[in-house]
This record gives sequence, C-alpha cells and structure tokens, in this order.
Amino acid sequence: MYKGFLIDSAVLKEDPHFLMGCKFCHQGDAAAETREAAHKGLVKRPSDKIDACICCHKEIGANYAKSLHYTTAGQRNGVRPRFSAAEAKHFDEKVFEASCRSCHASCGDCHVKGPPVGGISIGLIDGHKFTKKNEGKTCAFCHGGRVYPEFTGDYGGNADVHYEKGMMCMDCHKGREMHGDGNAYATKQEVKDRPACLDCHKIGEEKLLATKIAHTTHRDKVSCQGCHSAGEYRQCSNCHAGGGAAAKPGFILGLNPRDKKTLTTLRLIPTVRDTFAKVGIKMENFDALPNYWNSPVHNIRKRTDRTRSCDACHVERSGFLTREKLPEKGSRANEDLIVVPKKINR
Amino acid sequence: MRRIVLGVAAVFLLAAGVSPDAVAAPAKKNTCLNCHTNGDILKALYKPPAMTGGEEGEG
Repeated sequence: MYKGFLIDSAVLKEDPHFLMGCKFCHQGDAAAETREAAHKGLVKRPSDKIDACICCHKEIGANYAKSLHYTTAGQRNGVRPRFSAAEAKHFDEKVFEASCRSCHASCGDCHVKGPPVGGISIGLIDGHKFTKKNEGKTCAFCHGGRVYPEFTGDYGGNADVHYEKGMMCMDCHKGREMHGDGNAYATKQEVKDRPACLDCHKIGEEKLLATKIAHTTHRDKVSCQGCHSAGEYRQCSNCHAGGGAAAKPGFILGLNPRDKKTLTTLRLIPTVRDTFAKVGIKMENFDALPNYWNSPVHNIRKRTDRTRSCDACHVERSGFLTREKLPEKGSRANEDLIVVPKKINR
Repeated sequence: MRRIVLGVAAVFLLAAGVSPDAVAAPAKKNTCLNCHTNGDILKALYKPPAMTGGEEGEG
C-alpha cells in the first residue's frame, strides 16, 4: 500500500539520521524528475549489509553481523546433520543463501520498515522514524506463522497469559539477545542467558501447597510448557523446496530431543525425506535427527488440563506421542521421544 | 535607502534558495521528499502487486 512509503515530514527535522540526506543510504538520483530515473540504482534495504548503520552504531553493528537473526545459522545448522558431507557442501553453496538466508533480518527490518515476507511488506513502521521496537509490525511478520499468533490467541484457543497482561516479545527477548553479543553461535541453544520462566517465576514462592508439590515433583523432569501450554499449536508438515508446507493444529508431549531426561512440548519439523529432492539433495542421514524439536510454545496459561488433574497425563496420557501418531516414512529417531508416563499411587 | 533594502532582500532570498541538504528541501525542488512526503503523489504513483489466483478470489 502506498502509505507504506510515506515519510512523516516532522521526523526529518528531529532525527539525526536524516542529516546526510536520502542518497547517503538509498543511492538513486535525488535530482531526477521521474520516478524511474529517481529510482535508478536505488538501494531498497540499505542496512542489509549493516555497513549503513555501523558507521555510527559500531558495537551493535559488529555484534549484529554475527547474530543469529542476521546469519540465520540456526536454520542451516538445524538441518545439516541430515546431510552427507557432499550434500552439506551443495546445500551451503546452492540452497542456503538463495533460499533460507533470504529470511535474515537487516537492521531496518526491525527499526524502519517491516520485513518482507513472501515479497510483501507493510512498509515503513512509523513514517520512516527509527523505532526502537514495534513487535506487532516486526516480530509478528517473520514469526507470524507460529509463535506470534499462538501468543496472541489469533491461531485459535486462548492467548498466552503474558500477552493478556500486556507483555510483548521484547519484554522477555531483550535488545541484547536480538543484537547478539559478538559471538557467532551455531544455534540458539548455544546462546547463554536466553529468557527462562524461572527468571521471574521462582520455585518455592508458590502460594498453594499443591502447586509447590507439583513443581517439586516434576522439577527437572517436565518443562514448564509441558504443564502450562494451553493446548494445540501449529504443526507444519510435508515441506518441499519451492512448494511450501501443510499445517494443522496439534498438541504433542514427548521427550526433548536435546535433553531426553525431560518431557516437553514437541513441534513437528516439516522436513520430510524428499524436502530437498528438487535441488538434488536426498538427505542421506535423514534419520540422524527426529521429526520433532522441543518447542517452548508461547501459549502459556496458569491453569490447563494438566495442572487441574494428574490423570490428564498419568491415566489418560492425553497428547503424548505414540507410535500410531508418528509420521509415515518418518525418521527412525522418532521412537526415542516416546515416553509412557508412570502410574501414580493415590 | 530603497536600493539598500532591495539589496538586503535579494541576499536573503538567495540564501533561502540554497537549502543545507535534501532534508529541508523546498516544495518546488524535485527531491525524493517531494513524492515521499506527499500522500496524493504516492497514491497516484503506487502500483499494487499483481494478484494471483482465481477471478473470484480465495474462499
């Protein structure tokens, strides 16, 4: 929409970013008399290579160049164990940069103009102001397939209680986490000091004895989401390069593939055996990883079916991953995630 | 006296004609901001992306 390119005149006088003029970042021809001539050589996303910002924002820029939002290394390293050495090389050279990496966020995508998703952008976040944060116009777009609508309740079911209390993404995921700390992590699991429920909700401060007992009993055995996820969340499946994926709601409890001592909410990974067949990758080590990752689902409620009654898990086994629910032609590693909860004595 | 007043006015007019940069550009100058701060011009220039899918739209 045209309003996405409309600049607020008031900003031009107040913001030091405009002292150097439009051409400093965007190139093009500011003296041209037609749209086509003015846009010749135009740089639409000047912060795509960070250079435009790093001249003043030296530390943040240097850190961000190595951050996961910029490198998208997590997307690459998450799938790489399924490849042979030759396939990994082909993936890095021919597929990752052209496809997955196109999803990386430039500085401007969070601070100036909404990130393009599927080629579509909402345009300027606020009249070309350099905004500190606006989660509904930034996070919501790239993470709008799963986490964000689950958090707001737009996916169906209850909204996350944190959202209902007025909290947004940046209340937990601080700027330092987004900008990075200068280390080039391979995945987000390597990042220290990521937000954790226990940062605010301390064990031992519960008001009810039953709650204290439940927490003490399940501590280090069940993740917070295992009990407090409100219900179904998006499960994507059957993804093919250039062809997209299918999705439907679902709720899955199983062992954390990254920590098999802990029960947690699992999310189906849409990678199937022929996901990359179109680009010449068979995934010779497909079974090295399961078809599920542990997912800190952002649809938290204080009271859920699992907090109201022990039977939900220990008798009904509601939502637990079973052999019957495993995807057809799925990874052999899936069976390691199945757990049968113990019966409890009353 | 009249010549002095006219001369001073001319100096001021010349100074006003030279803007510090594209930031405070007068409306007559053809800069990026002539279009990008004017909603009517942008609306006239904007071309929506081509729609794909059936003529009746999605269900």
